[in-house]
Amino acid sequence: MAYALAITMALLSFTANSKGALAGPKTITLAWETAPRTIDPRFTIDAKSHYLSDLQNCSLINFDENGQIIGSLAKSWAWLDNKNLEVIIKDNITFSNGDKVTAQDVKATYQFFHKTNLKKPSPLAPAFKKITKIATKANKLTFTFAEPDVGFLQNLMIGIVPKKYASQEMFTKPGSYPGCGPFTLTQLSSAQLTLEKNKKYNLSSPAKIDRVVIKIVKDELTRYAKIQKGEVDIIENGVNREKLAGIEKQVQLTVVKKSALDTTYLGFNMKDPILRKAQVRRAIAHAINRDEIIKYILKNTATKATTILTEGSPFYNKNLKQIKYDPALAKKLLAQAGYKNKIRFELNYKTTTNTTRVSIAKAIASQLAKVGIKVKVQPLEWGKFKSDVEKGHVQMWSLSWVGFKDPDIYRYAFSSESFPPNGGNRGWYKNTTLDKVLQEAKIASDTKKRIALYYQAEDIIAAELPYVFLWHEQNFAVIRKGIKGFRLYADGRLSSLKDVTK
Amino acid sequence: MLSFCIKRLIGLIPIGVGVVTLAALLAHVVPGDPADSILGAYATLEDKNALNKQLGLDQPIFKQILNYYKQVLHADLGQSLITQRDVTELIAERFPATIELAIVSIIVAIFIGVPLGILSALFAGGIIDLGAMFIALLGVAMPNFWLGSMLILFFSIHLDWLPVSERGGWQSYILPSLTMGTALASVLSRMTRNSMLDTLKEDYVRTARAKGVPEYLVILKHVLKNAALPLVTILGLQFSVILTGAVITEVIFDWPGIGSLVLEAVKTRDYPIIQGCLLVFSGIYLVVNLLTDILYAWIDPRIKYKSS
Amino acid sequence: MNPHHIKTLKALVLNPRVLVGLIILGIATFCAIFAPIIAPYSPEYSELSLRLAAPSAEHLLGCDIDGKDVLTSMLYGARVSLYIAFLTVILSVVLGLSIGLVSGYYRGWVDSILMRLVEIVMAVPTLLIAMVLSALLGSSSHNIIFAIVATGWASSARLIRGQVLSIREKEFVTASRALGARDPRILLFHVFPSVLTPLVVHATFSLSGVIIIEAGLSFLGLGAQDETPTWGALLGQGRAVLTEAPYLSIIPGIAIMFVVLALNFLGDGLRDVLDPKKSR
Repeated sequence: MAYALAITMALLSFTANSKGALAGPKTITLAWETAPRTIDPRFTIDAKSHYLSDLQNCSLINFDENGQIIGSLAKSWAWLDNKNLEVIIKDNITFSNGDKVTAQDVKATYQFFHKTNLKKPSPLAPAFKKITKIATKANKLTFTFAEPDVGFLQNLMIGIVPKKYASQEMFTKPGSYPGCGPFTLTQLSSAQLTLEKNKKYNLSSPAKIDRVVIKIVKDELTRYAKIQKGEVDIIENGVNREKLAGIEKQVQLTVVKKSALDTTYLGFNMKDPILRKAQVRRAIAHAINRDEIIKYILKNTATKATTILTEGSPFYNKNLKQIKYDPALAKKLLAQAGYKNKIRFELNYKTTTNTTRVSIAKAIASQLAKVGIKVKVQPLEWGKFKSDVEKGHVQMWSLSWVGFKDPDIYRYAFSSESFPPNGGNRGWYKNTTLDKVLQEAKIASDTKKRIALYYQAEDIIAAELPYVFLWHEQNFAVIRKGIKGFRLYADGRLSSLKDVTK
Repeated sequence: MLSFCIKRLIGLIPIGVGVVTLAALLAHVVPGDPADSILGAYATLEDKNALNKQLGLDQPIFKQILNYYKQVLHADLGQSLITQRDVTELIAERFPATIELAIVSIIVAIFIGVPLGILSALFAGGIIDLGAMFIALLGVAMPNFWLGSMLILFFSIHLDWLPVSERGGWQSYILPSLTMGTALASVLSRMTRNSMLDTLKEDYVRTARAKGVPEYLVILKHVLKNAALPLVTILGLQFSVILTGAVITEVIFDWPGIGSLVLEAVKTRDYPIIQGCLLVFSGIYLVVNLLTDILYAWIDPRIKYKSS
Repeated sequence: MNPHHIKTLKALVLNPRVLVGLIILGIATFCAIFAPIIAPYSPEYSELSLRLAAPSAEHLLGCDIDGKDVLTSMLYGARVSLYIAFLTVILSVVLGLSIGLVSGYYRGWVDSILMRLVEIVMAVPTLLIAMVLSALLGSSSHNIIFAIVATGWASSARLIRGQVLSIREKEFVTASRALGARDPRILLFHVFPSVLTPLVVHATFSLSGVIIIEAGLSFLGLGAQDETPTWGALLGQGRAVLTEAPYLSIIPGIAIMFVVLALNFLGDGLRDVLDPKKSR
């Protein structure tokens, strides 16, 4: 029976041979380089899944183009005390089937993370276990937390699933539940996603286009050829940077860029005897010629970074200075640290297999070679890379923090409470002073005090350099002429799609 | 004829069994804990336990093989470790693209290779013959991943005549099928040439000529018919080579077939998909072999009786 | 060396195909062995500002995606490719030879089982298994060799077995047996030399096949990850930047093609000389 089904599917696929959705005038087509890993808002970790969830669902809070928190489903919110957050949701917001979005639905969605005995538990569950209680009354929800956490608000961006479906296992097929976002996923295959306008969407103005088609095109040249030929309208970040200069000269295409909430860094494992020495880390920082890499590999689509947060954030410490490229100083520091041989020591540098990342790694490796550090670059496919990094089986690696909104990211990244799997301190960095400052900042309710505390934290981090902060990469998009209304978001989301016209 | 077919079919069973067993035990080929090689060393105990549970890797080997057989017979090839989608569904989705391309490639190869071979045989020893045979040699020597890129560079980018890649209208089949079919075309042309040269010398050709039958009829009827036999053999043998070539061609042309599926699965260590694709590739090879044998026996009845 | 051997050698050297094949192979091997001396730059050298630079006077074949001189990479890459190819074929042939000899000579159930095994292995595409194994084992040269040998031995085994079966009944073998010679001795001194000829031809063609498989693996990103990119790896890079740096896709491919052509010539020529009945 199952074989018959499989054969039928195969035959259907033969005949269908979809070239994409019927390309009527009200369809916008995008090309993504990978498919989202999940379509379930309770499971989204990777970027593409986030973007998809953003289109299909609505959430309590969301983020504007510059990454600032805005209320979405939530009309207002207030901290009753440092462990209780009260949120009032808008009235009369509906799911795509017409049902009202109620506080019960919100509660049910967040309670999913406490569910046990799931065949596949959500990777987001540990973060939401910090919510000990959710009380509802009409349009009001009160979240109670195990401990004070001012920054937790930004986590309340999970797409809301109706109570009826909220405790089900991970959704894998379109139409598994009605969403409250501007679009509804109607088709999903490994080659394409199709979203139709959700006519019942009323959180804000309804979508101006009827359909969004997202083609999964793994090959960069193909993506580029498609947008040149008009088969695709928008590509975000998915074109080789080497092509951008040429594209800007073409009439039917434009390039838009926007600084993003992105910080690419070089991570060090503090457990390593060599890298635990601050002098060594500082030497490495001075030995890297970031300008060169930004110019030749990133084609000037990035700006140097001094810390995780970007200049647009009120918590960004304006007094931080860029680390100068100074190989002579690097050599001096290394000698001071006790490494005086011609080849001072060897390091292993792990990276993903993405071509650009590997190029960057090799460039850094050859720059470090000039100061006597022999670096072996080891590209690993994502699963193994992630696993090695989280288990601490690395010396140096490179990754980026993306989409961070709250300065609590520093605690997530550098507090000794945040060793994996409890957090993102993958370098196993421990500094008790910093821990204290970050803890205070987490519970501080006065904004001015918080700013001062984070300034202090940033100073400590800049002095110690548990990571070398490389640069902030921009988001860029190639758009066909005639597409109006598309705006890049700092975290890469495609929220502006509903306002796009052709 | 029927008993021949049945005999052959039965002969396939032990091989099929062997292949399924191989697929079932694939992760164990590598020394050490299979969960390690799938998840990558340093996976947590939790991760490994979860994987073992999902794939049954901690059970005794015999049981694993049996379980896999049970699954295969129910058309259940497991779920992707990454997207949880049914492997059978994934393969069914992408299978047509590969088969289509393979068939088109073979047709292209025949339409290029056979005429080339005929021409060479007719003008044996001359410039045309030497030229054609040299081109054939190049065709075999060229790595198909190079040829593919070259074709894209020239026809898609430089001349903008054809689409760069991806399965779409009929034009999108041209470059990939050329890429996949060139090696086969070369082999076919050599084969055709030699076969024709042999047959042209045979008695019945001379007889037909003596009878005054026009040259082209002589060629068409007698020569081709007899050259068909080795041609069929080659096609059968080369089909699996073509399928293997599909992996690389699909990567170059971003073709959504099982070749690119298995490469992704290999890169992400999506074990159930790898197993499933192994079965599919081997299955096709065995089926094609069987069909070739049957076709061969049908064309030349002597074979049926010789086989044992 | 008896006169028969000398005559064969002479015929070999005079055969134009063998000659051309050997010359090209010789050049490739020479380049590989003397790479450190011939190469214009050291394998560690890379200049970021020259990333994807087109061929020029300083960099005759241009620079790759990391700013490394392509000519240098090609010379050093030849080492890896040829090393892997030779070792793989030697191991495959030795393994296939042993299995084929045993299978063909002893026949019976040993033969049946071994040949079933051969058929199973041949049902699975070599590239596929090589891909899977190299991904599971990791991408060092030795793992690639293991991955290809794992299925590569089968074709040699089948060939040898066929040869052994036909030789087995030949007079000198039955005579030997009648004289009381023991099996291993017969295998070694009588059967083996007769299978040598088709084996050499087969090995030559195998070599060209392995070079393509290894290059294919590198192209797909599963090949040996060494200091310098192999020819296949360069082609892999080239595919990603096809419009930006077309020469990266052209040059290494031509090199591979020449070597494979040479091996095919060599194989054809060897077959002409050593096994005229089979030549076609």
